[in-house]
Amino acid sequence: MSTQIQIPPNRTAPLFSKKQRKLLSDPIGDNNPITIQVLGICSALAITTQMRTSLVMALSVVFVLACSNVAISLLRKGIPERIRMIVQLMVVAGLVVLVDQVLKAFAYDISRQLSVYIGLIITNCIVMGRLEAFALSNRPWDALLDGIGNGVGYGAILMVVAFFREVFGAGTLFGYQVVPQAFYDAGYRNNGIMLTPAAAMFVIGIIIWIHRARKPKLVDIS
Amino acid sequence: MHSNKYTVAYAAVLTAVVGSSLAIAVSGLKPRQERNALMANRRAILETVMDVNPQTLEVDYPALVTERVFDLAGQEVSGVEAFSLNLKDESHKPRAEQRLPLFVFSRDGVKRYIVPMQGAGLWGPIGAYLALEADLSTIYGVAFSHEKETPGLGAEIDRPLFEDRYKGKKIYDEDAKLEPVVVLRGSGNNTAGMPHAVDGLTGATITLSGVSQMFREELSRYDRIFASLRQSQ
Repeated sequence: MSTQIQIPPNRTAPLFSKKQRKLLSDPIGDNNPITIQVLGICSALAITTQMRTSLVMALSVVFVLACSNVAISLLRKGIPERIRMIVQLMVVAGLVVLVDQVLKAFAYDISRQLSVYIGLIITNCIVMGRLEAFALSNRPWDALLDGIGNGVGYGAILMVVAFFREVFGAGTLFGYQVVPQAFYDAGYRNNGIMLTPAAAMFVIGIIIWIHRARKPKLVDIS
Repeated sequence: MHSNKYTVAYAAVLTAVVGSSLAIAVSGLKPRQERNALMANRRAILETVMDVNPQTLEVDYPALVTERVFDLAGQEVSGVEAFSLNLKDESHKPRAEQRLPLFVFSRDGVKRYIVPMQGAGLWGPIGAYLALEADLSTIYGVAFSHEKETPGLGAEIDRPLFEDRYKGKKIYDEDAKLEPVVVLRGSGNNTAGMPHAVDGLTGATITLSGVSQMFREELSRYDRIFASLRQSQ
């Protein structure tokens, strides 16, 4: 008979167990909401013309995802099964309106640039998807990590796409000119198609291609 | 399965909690938002005629800009706050009751007239402040604004890249007949020697036709006001 003392798992579990680290890292890489699950494409096409708007959008989504995940996880045992999606929607909508109002008060210019797309976070499939798939059946701390992970995974793709679109479409990064004037004098022109949503589709497509080419095990997932 | 009573009560309580916390947040942030909007308006007006320092905006604006209000016949109307006028509401009123604001900038003997305009873009309202030289025809500068035009396409109208194309264009022809500036289709048009046209933006055709229409409609309402201002000069 073993004399090993059973340790209550909750007491000594490290802040980030291996499983919890995976919750954070998986959505950034192998289970990315945009490139693997192909969710949240709408806003990724729309607002990635500039790095600055993309960053604010990414931070807003991280905030909404993390908070709504925690809120739903806390409420998960009390939510009536029949109205659970409406409850989720209400929590998400409340948080999104809050973000929108705060941006209008403290970052007026950027909120004007993002216009409708902050409000459309409500309909971002990633948010509802994580609530249904994860927060409803997991503890708040795990749900928080999952929310941050997915938000960052979404935001990372946004930033990559915005980088290429802003550099080639406008010659700037975060609004600062990076393509030297000498290039323009030599006949270089900004590529107008990079500013259209179609270009975001190409860029995301290329990211998905590279991602899957490097990790063949991802190919059959979706 | 939860009972009906529980479900209804749950929904009611959640609605009340979310609703009231949002109401508190929104009313708490409102003064800041309104100030932002007013300052953004004043800044947009001043930016059409000078480089604005946001720190001194609060002092500069009242010192440099006079707000005047006219009726459609060109008579100045007193007792109306220029900023309180909603341009869209005014345009729906009977012609005799319409009131139009005009912002007059003057510094070191230089005068410029700033005309506010409103129109429709692709997704929502668009607006502009148009600064005219003292001859009331040559465009000194223009500042566009929009609410929800597509980022990267129609939303580019509020960028200097587009706004600067209006500089030096004219809204009256040689016979002093109103000839508002129109935006050409697509980009890359050569507009040298065309005082009443500017180059467009690819992919923003509908927003830009809204811009052209706004110039046509709004400036025709100011025609008489410009005429009477020219006479009094």
